[in-house]
Amino acid sequence: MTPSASPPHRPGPLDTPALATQGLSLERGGEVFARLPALSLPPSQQITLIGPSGSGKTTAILALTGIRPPHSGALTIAGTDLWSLDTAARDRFRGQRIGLVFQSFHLIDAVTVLENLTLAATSAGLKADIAHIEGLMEQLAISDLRHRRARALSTGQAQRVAVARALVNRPALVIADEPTSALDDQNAHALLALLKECAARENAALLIATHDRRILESSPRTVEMERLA
Amino acid sequence: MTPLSLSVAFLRHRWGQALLSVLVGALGVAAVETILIAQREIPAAAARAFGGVDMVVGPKGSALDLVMCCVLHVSEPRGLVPLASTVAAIPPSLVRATAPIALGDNYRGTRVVGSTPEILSIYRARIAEGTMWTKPLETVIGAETARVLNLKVGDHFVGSHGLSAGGEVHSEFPYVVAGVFAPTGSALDRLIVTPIETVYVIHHHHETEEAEAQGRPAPPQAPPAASAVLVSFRSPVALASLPRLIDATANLSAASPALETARLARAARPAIVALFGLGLVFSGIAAAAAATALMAAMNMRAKDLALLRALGARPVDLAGIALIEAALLAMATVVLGLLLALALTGVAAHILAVHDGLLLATTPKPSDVAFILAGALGAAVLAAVMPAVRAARAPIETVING
Repeated sequence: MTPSASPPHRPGPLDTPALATQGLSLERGGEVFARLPALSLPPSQQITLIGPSGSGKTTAILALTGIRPPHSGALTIAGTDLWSLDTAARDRFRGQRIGLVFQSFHLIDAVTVLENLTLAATSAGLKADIAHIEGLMEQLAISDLRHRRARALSTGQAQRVAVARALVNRPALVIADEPTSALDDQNAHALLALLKECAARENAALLIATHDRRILESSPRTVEMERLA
Repeated sequence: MTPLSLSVAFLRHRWGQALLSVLVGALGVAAVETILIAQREIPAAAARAFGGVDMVVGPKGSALDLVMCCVLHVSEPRGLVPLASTVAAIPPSLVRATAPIALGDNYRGTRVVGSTPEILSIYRARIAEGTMWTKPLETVIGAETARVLNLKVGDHFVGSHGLSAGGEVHSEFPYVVAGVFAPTGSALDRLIVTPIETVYVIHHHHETEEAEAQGRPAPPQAPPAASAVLVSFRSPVALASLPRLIDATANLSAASPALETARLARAARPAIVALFGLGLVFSGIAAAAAATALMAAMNMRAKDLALLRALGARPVDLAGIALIEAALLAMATVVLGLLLALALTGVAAHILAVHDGLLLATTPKPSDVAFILAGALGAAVLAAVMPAVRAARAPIETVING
């Protein structure tokens, strides 16, 4: 987590898709079981990846974030072929170019809100841009919580911190994995609105993987996992 | 946020476990450091207390008793030796100086020792204030005696019989302070020295009083005697032959303070080794406890570590967090352990100074600190290996899978 002196990556040119896939097939237990339809997601655009439980959404996210390789197919993020990078470079790339929002938010209880946010930068080898972080906290109305430990946050506060963390490094792509599955209607809609607004403001593309119908209703574009077996 | 500050935050989050590891480890470090100090400083303090006394000659008996009584002045004398024959038994060609000492009185627990001016030569002492005594009942007092009893040149005081406070007071024989010795670091600093004739005068006065009370005639003045004779060698070679020569006589024993200390150290060695081992065992238990606690902590925060990897941290970064945590625990353990050792040896030094006149230097030596720090950091690294491997292998998929 040694911070580098270089500034965070900026999103690529507008004609470079934030996410592009072609023939991405996924395997589980040595067998190809699902395929992700071809995708091209420009910056600031949103797409919802849908499919029932077990359809391969999580496996697809593991492939899209450089954690588990796909069986075959092409995948670029902001013009970079993610799976051509070695493991260390892929980890760094994920930290710097992909913002992640998890189902249960996964904040670090032992540290404060501000430290959770700066960790997103330092873990990715970047110097924390405090002005940017302050701006995100302002937008998400969590400035007052900066010195509060994560374990002391309410669900609504935790989700806003999780969104801010995903945007700290000005990612090209934000991936949210079942972000609303544990939330009531009010919190689910609030989180969706926040994600969309903040990702658009940061010029980041947004991919939400879900089977939550509440999201589908407001999604401008959806893509469904193809189950092969 | 740096790996260091993150490690501190993680430690603070589980402060109870961390504190327990540090406390157990600190006990081990304190035990090891206390023994290191004691092993080095007690013989050194004893050697300082001996001053220039290479040998002490007294009545037949234990050599160690003779040293404790007549060199360190911490135990009772065993009897008297005739002065003339004792001095005659010591070949003058082998010695630099001899000085008889006669014990019998004290002033508020501080021994009044009858001797001759040669005692200055024995202890390589000099008068810092006032003058040397010129007649009986004049005294020259040690620097520590002057400080503790708040005595100065010209002060009068009345001694009491025996070697500890509370004996019969000799109010008819008031002493006067004629001079104060410069500090020597030896047992002389804690004595009151007076001409040996003072002891004879007081002793004879008592015998006369007792005889008169019993209706007997006053006894004649006894021939000069002493509790012991202190000897300073001209050359260390004398140590090889002179004690043997004295021990061969019918009524005299010789004791070398240095040899007796070495003998005592040898006798105490098994206990010291056992205590040292106990300290190492404590330290080992602390390292094992720290390893277990670290491993448990790594397990408990597996998702935190996986999250950091998801955020871009490399495996080596996560292993670093475990190593830094272990190193921080080790540093805290060493600091607390050394403070504990300082407190322990400080108390021990005070007790030894008050009761035995041994002045211990209790400051840890840099080499001790380096030894303990290296040991603690080595143990910390060993303790952190498995947790570090566990951290480096943090299963990143768990955060994605929820």
